[in-house]
Amino acid sequence: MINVENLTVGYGKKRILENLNVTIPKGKITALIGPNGCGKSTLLKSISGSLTPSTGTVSLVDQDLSQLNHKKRAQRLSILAQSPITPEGITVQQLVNFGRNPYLSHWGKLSEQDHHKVQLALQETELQDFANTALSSLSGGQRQRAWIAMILAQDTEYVLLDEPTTYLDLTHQVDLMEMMRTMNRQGKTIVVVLHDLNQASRYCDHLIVMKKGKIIAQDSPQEIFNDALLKEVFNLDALIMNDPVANKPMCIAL
Amino acid sequence: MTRFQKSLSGGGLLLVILAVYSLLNGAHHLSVNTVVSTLFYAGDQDFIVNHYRLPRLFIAILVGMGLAISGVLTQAIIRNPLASPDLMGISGGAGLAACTVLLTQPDINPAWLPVIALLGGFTAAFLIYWLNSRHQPSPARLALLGIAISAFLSSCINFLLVLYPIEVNSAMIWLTGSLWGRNWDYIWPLLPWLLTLVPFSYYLAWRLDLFALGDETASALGVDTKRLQIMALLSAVALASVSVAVCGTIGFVGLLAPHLARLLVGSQHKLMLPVAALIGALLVLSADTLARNLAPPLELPAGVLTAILGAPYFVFLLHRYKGW
Repeated sequence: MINVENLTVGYGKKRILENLNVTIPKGKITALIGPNGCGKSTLLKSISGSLTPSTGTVSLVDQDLSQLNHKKRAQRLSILAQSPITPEGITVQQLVNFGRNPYLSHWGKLSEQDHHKVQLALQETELQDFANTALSSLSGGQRQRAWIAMILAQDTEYVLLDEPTTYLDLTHQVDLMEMMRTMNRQGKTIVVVLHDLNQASRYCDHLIVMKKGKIIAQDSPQEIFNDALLKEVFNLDALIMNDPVANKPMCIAL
Repeated sequence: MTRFQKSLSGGGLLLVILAVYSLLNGAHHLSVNTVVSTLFYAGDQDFIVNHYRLPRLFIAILVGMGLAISGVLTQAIIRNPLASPDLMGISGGAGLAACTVLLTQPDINPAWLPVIALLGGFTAAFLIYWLNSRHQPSPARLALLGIAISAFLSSCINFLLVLYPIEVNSAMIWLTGSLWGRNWDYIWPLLPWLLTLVPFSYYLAWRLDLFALGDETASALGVDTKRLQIMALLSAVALASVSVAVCGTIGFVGLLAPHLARLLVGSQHKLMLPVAALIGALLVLSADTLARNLAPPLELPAGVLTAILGAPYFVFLLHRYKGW
């Protein structure tokens, strides 16, 4: 599990999160949801270590993450950024190789095992045929798969995804959510920032609802989806009903 | 053969041909026999070959490599294709420092020049960093800021030239970049710097590939981005400064060489960096050879020739770059 204690973090003088405490359960898919600017991405970045909190700690079980060096941390926790830069001319294979970086020595040479893990990641994302294709020439959906392949190659027990479905069409959104579910079945703990409430409900076991840097509620989708909460957090009047396919709650804006 | 091997061997061959040509030709043409025998047994032409053309040849290669690698590092760390040590004012700072000391203390030991140039280079780099850090990072702002600072620094050099008209010849070197009158005394102080900085840059190379993915992703993949940024920038400033200490601001090499290398072998730094270094050496050596041979015994500054090639390319990049 991920333990966040007394976390205060911000940009410059502006504090986004203040004295935040939250526990993310192990082995589950947890979604961070909330209106724009509520601090969900900031929380994710603080967990991943790309933002340094001014106070507070983030720990995996009992291990304080700030005590680990960059590589050791990257062996336990991976993150797919919201809009990573695609370097000019990089191929899918080169990108997926990067996933092995936390395990490499000073000269960055990939071992037999590293290559094996990269191949596995390419297979799982069905990108074997695109290994030598330039990332920039792939479609949005395929490109997101390539980034997922990189995360798979990194092979960490915790995976953080920052709005992974934002720029994808519906088919590829479903595709990505299914890949996330597969990773979870393989034993990975997943934390994902999502905008689509119904998607969060359908694919996630645990929801953490945020507003203005505070945690409003955290529970299963069944508990979170109620009129009062949706009104409070999103200022939304909605009809809540049962999703007949997933047997989870879903909501329709009124 | 891979593109990398082709580029390296092709470039290497070109460098050898150019090196031979530059030893044979100049104000006074020498035959191959004379040059070979002079190289091994000294003789009548000892001064021209061993103390004039040979050190210049080595300096051109070393300085070209230094400027090119500095350009690769700057472009990678700033993630800006328009960045290079001379356009950022780093070379200008190093040149001004070296020029000031040389004009006021003409008898100074050349070994001090790299150190003095380093101080100037770091001051300029710090100034740019400070001026830029107060705004949203933008490639265009950085490029403009660099150009403004470079212009300011070269006007300072101009001012010095007016103050010290007698030493104007040697100081011209820092204005336009030239290898004129550069002998072995200038190579020895340069060597220890390059011998440590070049391998170190190569050691950093593959990490720069990860850095290109953005701070957040690079850090998530286990790269200490802050440390990498500092180490690469320090190396870039140092490489440019010590190069400038020897032959002034030979412009656009740090911009052109990485771009050409990227065209040849792609953007993987482990491949791109050695190729860029080779191209840098080729650029400076050919510029210097041309400078000596266009109108002998008159000499053009090599920096003028690289600018003729580099300036239009910079305009082309500005035109094509859509990052703003």
